[in-house]
Amino acid sequence: MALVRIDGINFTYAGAKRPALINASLEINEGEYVLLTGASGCGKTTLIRQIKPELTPAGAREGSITYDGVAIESLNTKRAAAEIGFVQQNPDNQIVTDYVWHELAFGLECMGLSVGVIRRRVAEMAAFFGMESWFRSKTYALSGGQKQLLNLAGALAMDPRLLILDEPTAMLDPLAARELLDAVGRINRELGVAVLITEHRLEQVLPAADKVAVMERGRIISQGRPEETVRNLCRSGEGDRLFFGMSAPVRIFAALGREELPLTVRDARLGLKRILGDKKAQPLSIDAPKISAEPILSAKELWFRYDAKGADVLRGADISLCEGELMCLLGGNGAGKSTLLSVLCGLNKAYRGKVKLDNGKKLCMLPQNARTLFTADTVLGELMDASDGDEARARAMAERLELSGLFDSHPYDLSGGETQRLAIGKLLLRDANVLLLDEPTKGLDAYAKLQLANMLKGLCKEGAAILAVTHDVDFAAQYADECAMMFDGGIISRGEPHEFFGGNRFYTTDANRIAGDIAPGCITSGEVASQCKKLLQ
Amino acid sequence: MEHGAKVRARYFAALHPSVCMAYFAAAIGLTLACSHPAAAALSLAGGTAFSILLRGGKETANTYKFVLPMFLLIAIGNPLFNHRGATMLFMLFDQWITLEAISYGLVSACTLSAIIVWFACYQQVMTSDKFLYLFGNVAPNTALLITMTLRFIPKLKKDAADIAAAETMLNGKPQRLTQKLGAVMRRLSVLLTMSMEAAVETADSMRARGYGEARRTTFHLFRFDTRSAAIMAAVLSLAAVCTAGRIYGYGYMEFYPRIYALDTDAGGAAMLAAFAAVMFMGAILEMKEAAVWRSCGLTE
Repeated sequence: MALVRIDGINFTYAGAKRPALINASLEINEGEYVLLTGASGCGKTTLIRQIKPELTPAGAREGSITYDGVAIESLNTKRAAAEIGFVQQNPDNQIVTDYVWHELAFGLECMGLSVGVIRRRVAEMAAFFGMESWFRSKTYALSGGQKQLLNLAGALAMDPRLLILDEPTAMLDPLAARELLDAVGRINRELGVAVLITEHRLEQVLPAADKVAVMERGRIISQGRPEETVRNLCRSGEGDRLFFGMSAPVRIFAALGREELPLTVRDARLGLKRILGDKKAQPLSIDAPKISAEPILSAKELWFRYDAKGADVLRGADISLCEGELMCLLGGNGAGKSTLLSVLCGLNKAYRGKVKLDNGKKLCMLPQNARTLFTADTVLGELMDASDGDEARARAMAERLELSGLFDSHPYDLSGGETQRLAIGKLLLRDANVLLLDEPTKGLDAYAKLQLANMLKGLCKEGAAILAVTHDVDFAAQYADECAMMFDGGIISRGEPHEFFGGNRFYTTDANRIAGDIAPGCITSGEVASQCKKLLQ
Repeated sequence: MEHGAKVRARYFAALHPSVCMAYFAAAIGLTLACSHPAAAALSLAGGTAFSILLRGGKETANTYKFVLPMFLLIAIGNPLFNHRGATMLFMLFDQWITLEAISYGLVSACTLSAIIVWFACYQQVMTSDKFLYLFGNVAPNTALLITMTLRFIPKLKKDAADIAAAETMLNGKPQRLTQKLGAVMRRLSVLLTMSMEAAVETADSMRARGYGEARRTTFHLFRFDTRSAAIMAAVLSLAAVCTAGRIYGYGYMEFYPRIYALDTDAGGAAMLAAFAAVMFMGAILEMKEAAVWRSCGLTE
């Protein structure tokens, strides 16, 4: 018998006209790993919140949901709390208490367990997740990845049979995201806890999943084993919004028109070798348009530290940005990327070195949390705020950023992509033409990234210059005019994306990892596919 | 146990919270109860020694920057404004200055200073988690509220800084006073919106983990070990001796109209000895611990 059975449910939010879920059915078996995917706003969160009775939003529901044979409405509330664990998107806001050990114990305290029992369970959790070294830390001092791991551990401490995770890695950098997803995989494999996860990073979750369900506009349009589901999706057409979200192996093989679709880089490498034999493509020739040579923003040998006794965070960092250029700044955690941005935009001051900005240029930084820029109750209000009440300018900006349909929405109700666009719109209305972006693609699905990229490219054509700090290697490879790598407080290399990534074996895109030797110089799945097509003709 | 802060309370920090609480209750309570020059001096000396060992000389000196002026104010102020007492010394501004008023001023100044110093030590030892443990089982929801507040404050600070940075980015640095006021209002409103949004998610996270399902227990990491038991026994018995002595009338000085104290016999001496033991117990234990650490090669 299935652990959870969702049977043809319709759900309409209180006060809404259209239903958010239409005839959705899904089964989760004991110990199964289920991935729920789909573009943002398609109803994923609404669906998974139906399974967690405490968090089900107000509205009208038809159809039945059973948990372990019991209708979810009549499930004992204590049992529901303990057996169905739930982890949300934002690592920070889920934490309730001030110490790590206390946070681990929170749910168990609510259950009224004795201190002895809690002590043992908390110790087990700390050992399972390797938290010993930060067990006694304050929660605010943790990194985002640690916070989310703590939230996961806090849910697991209740000994659940089902863990529900709602885009748990949206606010994490790729390394922390990988660690978290690894931990989820271990919980599933080693403890047999069933997992229901919504996630954009398919390349890591797809190989681990037993079942994939795909949603579109409130409906589950496809479900089954990962390979089958992916094949169905790819058949349904390349222009499809969901196809953008597929991982590089899938996209390359789908573009080649193959039936079998590998899910991992390894399988894709082997698959290509099998198809192509010893054939090798000519190195890709790039005719990158040269950007005008005069930089409008330049900084030479910046040195910076946060306090006199601390270590240097910037150690002679150089950077220059030209008009019409989109530059991506890559690098690991703690390399000093965000610090460099804060120095460039004047929030911090370098103790050595100078930042030079051309006359007539205005530099603005988009903060990592774009909501810090929002002061009004509606999207139109936000834009009017930045245009000093000039409604025509505000409306024109909304038109340009494809926000026109959302004038009356509250800024907090926007999706990740819309939030980014609105924030950028506000800065543009303040006549910013040099933009610094801190992790603009964080938490965006593939389609929203594409939209953002197109918008940024459009701005560059009109003469803006953009410097984006990102962990997103694929984004940088596909859209940047120039990439720079930051390490240990300095820029260690920079160049056009093909020359920048082409030579790397590890720090590069999946497409390059798959086909770096067969199709030299290719860094996007599109390039790899077209080179391979040529070879096959 | 602040993250990254220098931990100085070696011996007391690791004792069970109930023992720490009992000790501070005894030290502060007895200081308040015994209005006697010897007691006040002993308490001030013991508390200061404890403070130096716990918090370091620099921090203690900082406390004294506040304590010393207050001491002088009371010690000088009392004889100037209070003219009770039988032993008239001299006239000042047509008012008699009496020996009793001078003595009383000195003793109260000493007592009050001692209590401030003891509370400074208390703050170092009784961190929020210890306090919450002690009162968590009495009022679990209040304890949770305090815990959540302690968690919320650093987050609020960070959000406020981020918002200020974003505001500067959008509107530039405010110049005039009206602009500054406007900026503050805008920041506050953004902070409020963001915090309310965060609170919704926090509430979800709490409900998801069964908040309100049963009477909460309060988890802690403390153990009542043999060392704690021994110190507890010592504190309680010494405090009992002092209390008995105080009830009998020792350890108290009448100032008006004439200075009088019942402490010239053996009982009085025993009582003061027990009192001194309480006051110096903290300093001695910390000193002993420091010596043990040195002998184990644990140097700072």
